[in-house]
Amino acid sequence: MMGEKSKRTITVSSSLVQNKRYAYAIVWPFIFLIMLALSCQQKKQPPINPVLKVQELGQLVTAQYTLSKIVKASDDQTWYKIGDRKIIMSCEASLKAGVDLQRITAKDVTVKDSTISLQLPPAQLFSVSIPPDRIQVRYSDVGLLRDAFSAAEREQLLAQAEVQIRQLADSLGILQTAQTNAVVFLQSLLQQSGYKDVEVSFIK
Amino acid sequence: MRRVKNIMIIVLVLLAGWWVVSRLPSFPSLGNLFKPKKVAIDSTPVLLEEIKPLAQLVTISAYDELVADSTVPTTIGERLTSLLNPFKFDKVYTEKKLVVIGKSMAHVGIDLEKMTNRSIQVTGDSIHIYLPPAEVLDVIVNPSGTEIFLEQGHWDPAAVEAVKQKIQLLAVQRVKERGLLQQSEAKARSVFTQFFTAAGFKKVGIDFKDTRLM
Repeated sequence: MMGEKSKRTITVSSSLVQNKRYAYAIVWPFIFLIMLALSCQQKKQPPINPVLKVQELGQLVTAQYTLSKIVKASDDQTWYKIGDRKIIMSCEASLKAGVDLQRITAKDVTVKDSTISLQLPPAQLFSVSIPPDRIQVRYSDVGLLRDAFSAAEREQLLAQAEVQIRQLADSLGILQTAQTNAVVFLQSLLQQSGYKDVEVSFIK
Repeated sequence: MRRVKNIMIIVLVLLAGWWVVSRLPSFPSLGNLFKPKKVAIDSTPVLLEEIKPLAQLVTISAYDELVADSTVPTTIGERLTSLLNPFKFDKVYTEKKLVVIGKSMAHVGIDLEKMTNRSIQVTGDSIHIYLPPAEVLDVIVNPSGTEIFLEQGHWDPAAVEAVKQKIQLLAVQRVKERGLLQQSEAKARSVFTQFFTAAGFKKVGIDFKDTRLM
């Protein structure tokens, strides 16, 4: 009797071990796949800006520069695509600069009889704009096996041009022009207000 | 049982190997191998076309995200081209669709160039200024803020331009609907009052009127 009992116990325990092995064989790949999926998960998208964000300003815009640029690109770097694509576009950009009047405080203004001295903050670039009606496709060459440049692709190329224009903005001297024009405008405004001498300088 | 176990081990080893290899920075992944290369523009110079003096007081900047679309029936020629071209596997559309999401920046303020000699009246330590009414000075929809959400069929640049201009018009409409012109005038009043108070005037009065019409 005892011998039979022990035999049964051994059979039960061996079947338990077998079941355990089956369980491991099924569970482990699942755990691995879940870990893999988690590791491949994309980063959370940044929250979208609230629509219609309003900001109050006090920008005195005094200079506008209009620039033109040729946007040239060749799509011949993807090894498995047969045939090239080339495009030349032209665009115009409008840059605006001026001084922030909100940054002027009472301590920046000195009045003595009919003379006023004004200290302004340095000029800033306020905006770069590429108006849609100032963009033109000048030339396009598309291989037989390729699709023409799509609207999305053209926008991507123009976005690169926008970055190049922003990087060049400082070297164009727009800030200096904005400061000169701001002086002229404020002198005229304050002379109309009754001041005979108007001195305008910029905080460095 | 042993066979199943061996298969499992092989699968696990392959997956682990793929995972390790895909994380090595110098090892090109299969996805990257077939990823189309980004088309980069050449570095070209800019030509300065015009320098213009301005006198604008921007008091409100309104950022918005707007959607505009356009639908045009495809021509028989376009349908035949996509149907008969053996190298392209485009669907044959009966109509073309373009949906654009544009980030717009509207600048609202006062065009100070419209001021005349009659715009400023001084009496002792009091000043009264007539400013031109607020207007939308600029609506910027740049390529970096433009997303082509849906592009069905081929769209020429003029058609894309028309959709982007729709976004600009929508932005102007939204500015007016939200009362931002009035808000801009209130802010201009505050900026000018602060400026002329700092300039020594005890009393500053501001009205919005186009003095060219007076």
